[in-house]
Amino acid sequence: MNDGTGPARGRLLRKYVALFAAVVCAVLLGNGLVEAWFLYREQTASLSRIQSEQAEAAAAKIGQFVAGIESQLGWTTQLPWSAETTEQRRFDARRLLRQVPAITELAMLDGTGHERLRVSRLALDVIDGQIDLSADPKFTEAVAHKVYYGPVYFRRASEPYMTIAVAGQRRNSGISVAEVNLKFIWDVVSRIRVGETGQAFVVDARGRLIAHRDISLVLRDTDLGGLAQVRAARDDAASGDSPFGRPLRTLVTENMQGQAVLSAYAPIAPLGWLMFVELPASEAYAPLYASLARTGVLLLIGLGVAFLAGLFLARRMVVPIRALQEGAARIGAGDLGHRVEVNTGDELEMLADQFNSMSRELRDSKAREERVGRLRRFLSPQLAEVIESSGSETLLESHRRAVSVVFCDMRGFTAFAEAAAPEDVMAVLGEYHAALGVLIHKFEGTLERFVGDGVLVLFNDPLPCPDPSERAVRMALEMQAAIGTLCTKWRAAGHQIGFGIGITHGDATLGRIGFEGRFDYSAIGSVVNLAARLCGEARDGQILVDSKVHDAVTAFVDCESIGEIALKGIRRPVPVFNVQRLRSGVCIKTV
Amino acid sequence: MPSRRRLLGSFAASGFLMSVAARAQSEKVLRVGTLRPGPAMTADSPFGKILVDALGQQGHVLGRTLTVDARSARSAAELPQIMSELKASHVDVVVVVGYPAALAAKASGVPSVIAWGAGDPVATDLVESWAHPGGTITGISDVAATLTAKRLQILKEFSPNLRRVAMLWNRDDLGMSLRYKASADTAQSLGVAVQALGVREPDDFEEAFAAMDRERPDAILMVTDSLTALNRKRVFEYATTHRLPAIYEYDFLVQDGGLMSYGGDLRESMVRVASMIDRIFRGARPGDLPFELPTLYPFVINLKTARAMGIEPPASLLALADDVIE
Repeated sequence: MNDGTGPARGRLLRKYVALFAAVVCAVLLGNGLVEAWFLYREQTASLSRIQSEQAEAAAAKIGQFVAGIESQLGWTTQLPWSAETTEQRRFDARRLLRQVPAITELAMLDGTGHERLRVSRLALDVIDGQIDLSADPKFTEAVAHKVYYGPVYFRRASEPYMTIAVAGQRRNSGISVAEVNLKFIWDVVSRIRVGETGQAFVVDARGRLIAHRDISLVLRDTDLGGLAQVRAARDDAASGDSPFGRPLRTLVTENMQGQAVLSAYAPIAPLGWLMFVELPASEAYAPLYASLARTGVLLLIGLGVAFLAGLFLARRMVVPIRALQEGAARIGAGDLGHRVEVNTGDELEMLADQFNSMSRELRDSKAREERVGRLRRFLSPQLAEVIESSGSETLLESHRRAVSVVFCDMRGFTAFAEAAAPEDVMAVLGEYHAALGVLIHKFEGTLERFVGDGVLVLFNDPLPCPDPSERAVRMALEMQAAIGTLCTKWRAAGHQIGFGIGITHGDATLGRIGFEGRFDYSAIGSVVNLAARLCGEARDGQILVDSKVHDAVTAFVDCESIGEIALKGIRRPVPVFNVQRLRSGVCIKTV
Repeated sequence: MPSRRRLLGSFAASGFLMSVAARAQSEKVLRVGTLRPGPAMTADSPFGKILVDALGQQGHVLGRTLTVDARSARSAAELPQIMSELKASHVDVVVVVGYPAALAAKASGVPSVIAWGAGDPVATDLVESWAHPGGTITGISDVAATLTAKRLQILKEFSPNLRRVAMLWNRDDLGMSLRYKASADTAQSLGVAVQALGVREPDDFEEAFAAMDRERPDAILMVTDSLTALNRKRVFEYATTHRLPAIYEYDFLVQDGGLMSYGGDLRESMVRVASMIDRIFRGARPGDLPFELPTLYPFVINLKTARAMGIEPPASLLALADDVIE
């Protein structure tokens, strides 16, 4: 008997919860991964672009710084050599030194390349030194291209300097050669902001560091040629590609301290220097990682919510199903009064309602079976069915009706019962009752009672019939025939048994008598007494009837009058007839 | 589960403790000692203020995460003892001024930063090289030897008739010898004679003045160190009284009453010193920090003094001055 527990219990809930959570999880995960992938790509592309632009802007600042010095130098080569005295030139040169703190030394060469004046911040001024620099690139380059940018060199192996030589517009203006202290670029570089922890630095054409926020690195003549980004940038420059024709390179590589950085560079064009802008990868990718972390957290939260939601929804679905399952189990166990409560407003509720109506019908049918069972005890099966189907037991209440009463019993049974073995008695009784039962059923009589070998059958009650006496007599005749056969058999076995019947017709009171738990449907009245007395008077093979019955059946049976007999308990003597046989040739109504 | 809760709790507690420790770490106090011959470089003195401001920008707040222990040495003999006292009080860095103090700092082994006055550190064997000092000293050089020659040239420009220059210097200061040599060489090329007047004690100034009275020079070039700085007023007075153009090494002397100065910008030097102190505090070794030079060299003229002397500075020189005090 399934009592609602077992290994399958709870599996439905778990299945639905897992399914729900898995679906939501898969969706969230897929979404998160796709988002993360695209975010990564977009972020890195935009970062590279920003870095590149920063590098270009920073490179432009340095370029402007140098261009500024160059343009200041132009003042000193404005006038032709002959137009000014040496003193005037010296004064102009010192004014320039005051104006441009970056220039440590200024030398002025005349049109032939001879040094005519040198003004210095630190060293002594030299007038008309006449040093011949006509073969020096400072002179030759400046004459050829109007401006010369010398390579970066280090004074005292520590201070970075470069030479800038500027020629005047006119051939005889001479050349101004300035030694520029590149520590002033440090100012520009250290003001460049790259994110929170990024840094910018400048490297000359040979890969040496010439400007960095940490000046001590510069003053130590640090060679950065080994860094991957420097090498890559120099390769780019060497291959001769125009920096304007293609996007500037950014690399994820290591900086000089070994940190992972996103590095971008821009060339500082006329000087051949490289401006590097580096942002630590951790800071560069921080927003990306933050976003990924957010996605991860949302995913976990989503998972949790999905799990809870799944739990909640699955429970809502599973609870009615489980109620149905338990209801079925209980009904199966016999509790037919149990009602399944489901109020979900959907197909499950309909199912529960049908379940309840089914159990109700089961209950009703069981009750009917019981009632029928009760009635069967004393009514013919069809009668019981009819009463049951009519639904009321009013038929069984006390009422008065004209009934035909048939009383029959065996002659010599008592003596037989005394003498014979109990098994033989029971066997005889069994055959006797069986034979009578068939005929009572055939003629739709109501077996009112049987006591030992006596049997009382009623006609016209509880079921009315139009010809009670006629049926009673026909039944009696067939009874005599059947029992007669049996008697012959019994006599052959040595039992002296006979069979007599008494039939009367008249008003009787019928209804239930008895007490709680043991009722009988009974007929009370003088008609019953008379039938019993007539049966007692009947000899073996006789069917004694009263005048009413006789009047009713005389048309189709042969009767003989026995005369008027005084019977015990009856006031007056009663005319009695014996029914002998069916009149031949009469159409027998089939029942 | 209780054990899981306990584990979480211990994580939280350790995390809290670590953050407190980290905060405590970052709250470590920077102890700076200053050793200056002459007026001590306290946090209120002009240069001390620049130093403290610059350190403040690096995140060291005076009184909370920064302490300044300012010492002053009256004579060279006191220097070793002061250095050992500073060492005993666990200073992180000592800022020294002047060659004798730099020597004492180097001998004591305390990380030191020379603010000015040490001359050419490589030539005087204070450090191994400019780029890599090695040892425990670094700082800013004042390029004294080279600039001495330049100062002579300026003096010559001031008074074109210059024939003899009196040079006041501290005989006990070994770093001065280079300057003297440089000035001697320059003087020759300029056609000027140098009258070297070495002083060792305050009393020696009287002797020097007496010598200058006997053989009057045309100008004075004063080398700045503890002794001369302490006695500067006397030199100013003498120069003014005798109408002697004088050139000094630093602009604070001109502000005090000297006539002219040409030298490295000390304010810039102090800011660089602060930056070096910060680097040392954060773990760099002084030997790894390159010795630096100033980038700005202001030329300052005190017109008040000039007028008091009754001398008119040449217009071109005046025009080229970076600062004129009136």
